[in-house]
Amino acid sequence: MAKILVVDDDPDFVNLTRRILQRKGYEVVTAASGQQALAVMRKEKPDLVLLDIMMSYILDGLDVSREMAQDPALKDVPVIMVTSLTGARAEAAQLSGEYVPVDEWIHKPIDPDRLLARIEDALRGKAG
Amino acid sequence: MTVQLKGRAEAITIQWIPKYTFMERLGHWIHTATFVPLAITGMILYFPFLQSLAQGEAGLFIRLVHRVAAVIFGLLPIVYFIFQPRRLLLNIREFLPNKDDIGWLKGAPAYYLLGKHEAMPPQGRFNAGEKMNGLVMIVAWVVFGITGVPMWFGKGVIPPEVFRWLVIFHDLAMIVSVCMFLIHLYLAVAHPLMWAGLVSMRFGVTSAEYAMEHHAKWYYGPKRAMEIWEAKKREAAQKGGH
Repeated sequence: MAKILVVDDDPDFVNLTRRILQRKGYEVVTAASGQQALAVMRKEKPDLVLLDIMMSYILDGLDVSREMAQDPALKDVPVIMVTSLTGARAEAAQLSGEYVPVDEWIHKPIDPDRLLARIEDALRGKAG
Repeated sequence: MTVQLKGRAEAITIQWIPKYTFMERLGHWIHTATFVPLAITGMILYFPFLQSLAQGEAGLFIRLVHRVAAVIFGLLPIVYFIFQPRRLLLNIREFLPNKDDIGWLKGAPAYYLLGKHEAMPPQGRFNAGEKMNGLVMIVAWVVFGITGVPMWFGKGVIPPEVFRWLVIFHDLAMIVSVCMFLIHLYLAVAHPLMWAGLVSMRFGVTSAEYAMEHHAKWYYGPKRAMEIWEAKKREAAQKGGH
């Protein structure tokens, strides 16, 4: 079964998500900050990363995603951004240096079924 | 900051960022709703020219209001700690000063009076002024508690000299905290550059643009915020040189 890294500075969210994922048979590893997440990724080689955006600072999660995109060993690991950021507006893409590519974007609070469906989609995409 | 979803045309632009939790805002407004009656009734009891208002039944009512408000004011941080201990400790840590605060305070007069923002070093979720306000309120809460409880229950029991010192420290805490409160009130509701503070304390969010500019360490992280600030300073120096 796939290994998923849950990255969030909120231990309640991490514990809840861990239970949801483990019940479905996924192996779960966790990290509480961007820096810790990159270290765990390089050691544990997860199949997918659930990444909170606001941790030590607002763009912490996005910086992790940016660093992953530049690392040949991590650039193909699917990333699902999980965030409570409000007022995020979808727009037509205009690529620039400030753009950070991610596979999916989910708002908190999370619906477990929706989360599991997105994870399966992302893992299928990776396998395909 | 914009996030592109892989393989799709659309991208996500962050516009609003949660700045204060519901409990932080509730705590802030309960603190305000108790601090104001405490300050008003306290000043009536403190200033000799207002003490005529505190005679007879009116005096009893004023003391009652002061004590009821004091109980809520005193219990508030304790209740907050019971419900959200991690958040309270995080808040206290965020109020602690650092070396960038000195640069911010030096640049503050030019910013608040002339709107010049370039000299202000990047700040975290709270700027140096907000930290000062927070620290003054924390210290005042401690002093009000240490002096107020024995003043309430210890009259006639505590030696008169000790009681006199309790009153002096209680009054000093009142003077300092009321001055800080008045500055905070002016900046929050009247200063033309400070509109975002009240918005975030009412609705819990601040604009990404405002956070980038005024709370860069909180937005970009300390390392990148300093790089951006250094680049801005170099640019300003180059412009000044030409």
